[in-house]
Amino acid sequence: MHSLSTHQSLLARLSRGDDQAAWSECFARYRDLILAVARRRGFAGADGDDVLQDVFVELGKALPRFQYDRERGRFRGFLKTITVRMIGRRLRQRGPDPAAGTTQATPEADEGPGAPDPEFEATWEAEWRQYHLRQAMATLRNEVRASDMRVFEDVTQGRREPGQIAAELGLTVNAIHQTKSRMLKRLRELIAAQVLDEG
Amino acid sequence: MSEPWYLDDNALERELAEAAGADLPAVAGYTDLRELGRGGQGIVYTGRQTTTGRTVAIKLLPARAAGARQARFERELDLLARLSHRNVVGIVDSGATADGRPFLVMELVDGPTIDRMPDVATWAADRGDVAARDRIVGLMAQVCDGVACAHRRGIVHRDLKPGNVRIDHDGTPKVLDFGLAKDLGGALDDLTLGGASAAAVFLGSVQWCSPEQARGEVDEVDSRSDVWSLGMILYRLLADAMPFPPATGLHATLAAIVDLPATPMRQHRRAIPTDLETIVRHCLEKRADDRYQNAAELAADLRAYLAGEPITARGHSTLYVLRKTAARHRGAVVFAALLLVSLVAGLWLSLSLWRRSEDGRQRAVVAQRRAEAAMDFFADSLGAASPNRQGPDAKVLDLLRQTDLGLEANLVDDPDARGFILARLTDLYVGLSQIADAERTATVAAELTERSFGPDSPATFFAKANLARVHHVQGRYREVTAALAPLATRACELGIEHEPEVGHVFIVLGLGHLRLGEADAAERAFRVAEQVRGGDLGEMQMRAAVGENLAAVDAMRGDNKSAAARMRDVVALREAHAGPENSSTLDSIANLAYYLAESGDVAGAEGKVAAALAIARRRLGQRALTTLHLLNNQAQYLHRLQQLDRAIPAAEECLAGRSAVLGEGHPHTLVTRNNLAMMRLDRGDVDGAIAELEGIAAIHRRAGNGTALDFLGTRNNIARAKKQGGRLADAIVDMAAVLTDCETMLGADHWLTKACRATLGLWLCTAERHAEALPVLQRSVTELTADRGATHADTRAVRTRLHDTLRALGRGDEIPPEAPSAR
Repeated sequence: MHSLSTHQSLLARLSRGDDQAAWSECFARYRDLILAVARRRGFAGADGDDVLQDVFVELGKALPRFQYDRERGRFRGFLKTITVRMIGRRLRQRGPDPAAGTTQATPEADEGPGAPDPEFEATWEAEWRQYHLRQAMATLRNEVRASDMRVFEDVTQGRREPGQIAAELGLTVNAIHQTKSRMLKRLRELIAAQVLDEG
Repeated sequence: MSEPWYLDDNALERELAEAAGADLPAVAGYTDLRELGRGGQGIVYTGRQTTTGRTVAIKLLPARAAGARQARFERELDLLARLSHRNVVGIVDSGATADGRPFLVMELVDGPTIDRMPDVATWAADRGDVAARDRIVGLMAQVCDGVACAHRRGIVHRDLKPGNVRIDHDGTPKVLDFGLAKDLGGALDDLTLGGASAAAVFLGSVQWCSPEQARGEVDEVDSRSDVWSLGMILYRLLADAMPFPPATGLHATLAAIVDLPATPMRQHRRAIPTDLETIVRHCLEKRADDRYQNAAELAADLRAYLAGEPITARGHSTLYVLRKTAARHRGAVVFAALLLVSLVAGLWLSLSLWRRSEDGRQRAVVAQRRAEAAMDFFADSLGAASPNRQGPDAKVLDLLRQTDLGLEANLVDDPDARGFILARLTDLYVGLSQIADAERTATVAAELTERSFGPDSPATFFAKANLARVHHVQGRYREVTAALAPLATRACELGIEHEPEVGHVFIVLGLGHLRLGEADAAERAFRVAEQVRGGDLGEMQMRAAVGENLAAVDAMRGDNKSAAARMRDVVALREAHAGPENSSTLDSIANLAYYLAESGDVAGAEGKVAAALAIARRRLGQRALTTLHLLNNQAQYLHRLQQLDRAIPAAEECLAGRSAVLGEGHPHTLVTRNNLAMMRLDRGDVDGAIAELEGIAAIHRRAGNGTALDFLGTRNNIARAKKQGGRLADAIVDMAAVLTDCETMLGADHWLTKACRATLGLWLCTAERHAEALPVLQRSVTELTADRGATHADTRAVRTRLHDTLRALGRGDEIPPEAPSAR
C-alpha cells in the first residue's frame, strides 16, 4: 500500500523537511510500530495516539538535521530514541500534574534517552520485527493470489491444519507445504531486502 | 552476531503466529478476518460472509477516524453503491461495527495488481512479443470501461494507479479503491485535515496524479484527470518505465508532472507502435482540454488501435507539445546547443523569413513558431544528452540520434513540421559528416512531403533538392543533375522558379553542373536562384549562396581574381548575418582562400585558412567536414609554399579524417589522397606517388561515379609524376592520351583541356620533339592569351617555349618583334 519509495529515498525526502507526501508515507509505515510499542508501555487508545503524535512532531523537528549515512540501524536507533523520550515524557507528565499535560509539542529542554531500559529494548525489537513482517506481507499480498495468501496465513498462523486446507481445496498436503515453503522463502527475501534498504 | 531472525524459519513462523494475534475488529456477519492491507483511507481485511460463505474484502476505518475521513468513507460507500460494472469492484454490504466504526464490504478480487500481471513481465522481457503488448492494451481498454462507467455518473476516481487495478481470477481487470473519488454532482468536501493525523492521509500516490492535481487545483480535477492517470498506467505497463525522470521529493515529482514533457515511450521501447505512442501522449497532455475528455474516448481509441483502425488522437497537432517541451530549457542551453544553433541557423532562418515575406504575416507567424519549436527541440535534446562520450562530435551525434527518435514519436501527425525538422536534421548530419543518416532523413522528408503536399508543391521541390544535396555530398553528381533538371523545367512551367523553396533546386542543380565541369549550365541555374526574392535575411542567405557558386563558375573559367572578389563579399555577408564562427562563414573563408591562392596569393590564403581552421577545430570538432576541408586546403597552400614538413602531416591528418568520415572512394577523400601523392612526389618519392595516383585512378574507373574531371585530373597528375621522376617519354604518352580524352569528355574549351595542352607542349619542347610541340604550343598560347591575357605568367612561359621551338625549327623569324625576349 505504501511502497512508493524505498526507505532510503523516503529518508532523503523527509530530511528535506517540506515533503508532505513523504511524511504521510512515513506515518503510514511507522504508525503501527509506535502505537504497538506505546501500548506495551501502557499507552493504549487515545493515549497511544498522543505518543504517536509526540513522536511525529519530534521527528519533524529532528529529521531535517538527520544525516543518513548508511550506518546500519541508524534510523531505527534514531526512531527508537525519540520514541523512548516521548514515552518517558508522557510518563513524567502523568505523575505530578496530569492536567498540565497537553498534547502541545512545545520545544523543551530534553533529558535525553536516559538509562537503557532492558524491557523496552525487547519490546522495541519485537515490534520492529512485526513492523518488517507487516511491510513484507503487504508486498507479498500484491505479488500472489489471495487464495495462496490465505493458505499461507492459515498454515503459518495455525488457523487450520494443512490437511484440512488440502481437503477443502482438493489439493495434496504436500502441495500445501510447497506453497507455504515457497512463500516463506519469498517473505525472507522481502524482509532481507527491507532490512538492507533500511541501512 | 547471530543469524537474523527472518532467516530462521522457526523465528519467522513465530512472528507470523504472533501477527495473527494482532487485534482484529469484530464485524457482525463476517468471520475469519485477516488484514489484507492498509492505506490512508482505511484498513482492508478479508473475511468470510457467514450467510453465504463467500470470501470478501472488508474495508474499515481506523479506530480514530477523523470527521473528514469518515465523511469521505461514507461517500465512497454511496458512490460504489451507484456503480455497477464488471470492471469496477462490486459492493456487497455496508454497515458499522459495534463500536460505531463504519465498514464497507466489497467483492474480493483474487489476483495480482495489473502491473504484476504475467503479460506485463512477458512484454517487459521480450520486445518481440507484441501479442502480450496488445493483451495489455486490451486489459487497459476494459479498465477504461470501468472508469468510463464512473465518469458517466459524474464520478471521478482521482487515485488511479496500478495498485488500484487488480486482475480477477477469470482475467477481468477491476478498478478498486474509489475511496478518494470526488462526486462532481455533490458538494465538494473539505479535503484538508487538521492535526498530526493529516500526515496519515496520503491523498493519492503522487507520481500518478495529473498536473492539475499536482498544482493542487482541486476545482479543476475532473474526468480528464483520470484520463491522465490512465495514460500514466499505460505508459508504465507498455514502456516499463515512467514518463518523467525519477525525482526525489514531492516537490520535484510534482514539478516534473506539471512542467516536464513526457519522454516518448519509444525511447524506452522501440516496439511501441506510433498509434499507441500517440494515444498515450494524448492522455498525457498537460492541459486537460488537450486530452481525451473521458475514459470512454480513451477506451474507444485503444480498441481502434487494436482493430488497426484510425485513432482519433491522430491529427492532433503535436507542435504545441513540442513547443511546450522545449520552452522550459531556454535558459540552460549547453555549449553543444549553441553549436547546433549556429549550424542550423542559416537554413531555418532563411526559410522562415522567406515564408514571412512570401505568404504574409499569418504564415510568417506559423513558420516562425515552427522554426522556434525546431530550435527549442534541438536545444532541449542537446541539454539532455549525455556528456560522457569522447569529444563534442560524439556528444552532438548522440543527441541528434535522440532527437531523431523523438521525432518519430513526436511529429508523426504534422507532415509540415516533420518535413521541416527532418530538413534541419539533414543539415546537421551533413555538417557532422553522417552522410548515411543525412540521406535517410532527407529521403524520408522527400517522401513525406510529396505525399502530404503533392509533387508540385514548393515544399516538395525543396525536400527533393535537399535529398539531391546529400547525393551531391556523396559525389553522385550525375544523379543530382538527372533528378533536378526535370524539376527545374517543371518549376519554370509552373512559374514558381523564383519561390524560395524552389530556389534551392537551382542552387543544388548548379552545384551538380559545376562538379561535372559544366560551367554554362551551372551559371544558368545559379542566375535563376539569384532572382529569388524574399525577406531581408533570407535574401542575404540566398545572395551568399549564389555569390559563392558564381565565384566557383568564375574559377572554373579561370578567373580567380573575380572569384576571390566575389568571395570577399560573401564572407563579409556571412560574417554579418551568421557570425564569424559559423560553419558557413568558415566554409566561405576556405573558398576565398582558395581563389586567393589560385590568383597567386598563396601565403595570404594559408593565413586565412589557418585562422579559420583553429576556430573550426574548436567549434565544430576535429572531423567535421568544414574542419577537414580547411585542413586539406591548408596542406595544399603549405605545399605550394614549399613547407612540406608541415604540409604532409596536415594532408595525412585530413586523409585519415576523410577516409573515416566520408569513405575511401569519396571524391574529397580522393582529392586529399591526390594532394598527398603530389607532396610525396615533391619529396622525391616518385614511385610511391605514382602508385598512390594509380590507386586513385583505379577507384575512379571502378566506381564510375567519379567525374570525368576528377578522373582526368588524376591521370594528368600521374603523367606529371612520371615526368618529375625523369620518365619524360612515358609522361608525354600519358599526357597526350589525357589531352585527347579531355577534348572528348570535357570539350576543347575546358580549362583542364587547355592546361593539358600547355603541359604537353612544354614537355614536347623539353623532349626536343619540336615538330610535334609547335602546333600544340601555338594553340596553347592563343588559348592562354585569350583566357588569362598576354602578360600572365603562364602565357609568358608557354610563349617563351613556343619561341624556343620556332628557333629550334629554324623559324625564328616568325617570332613577333614586339614579343618579350626569352629569359
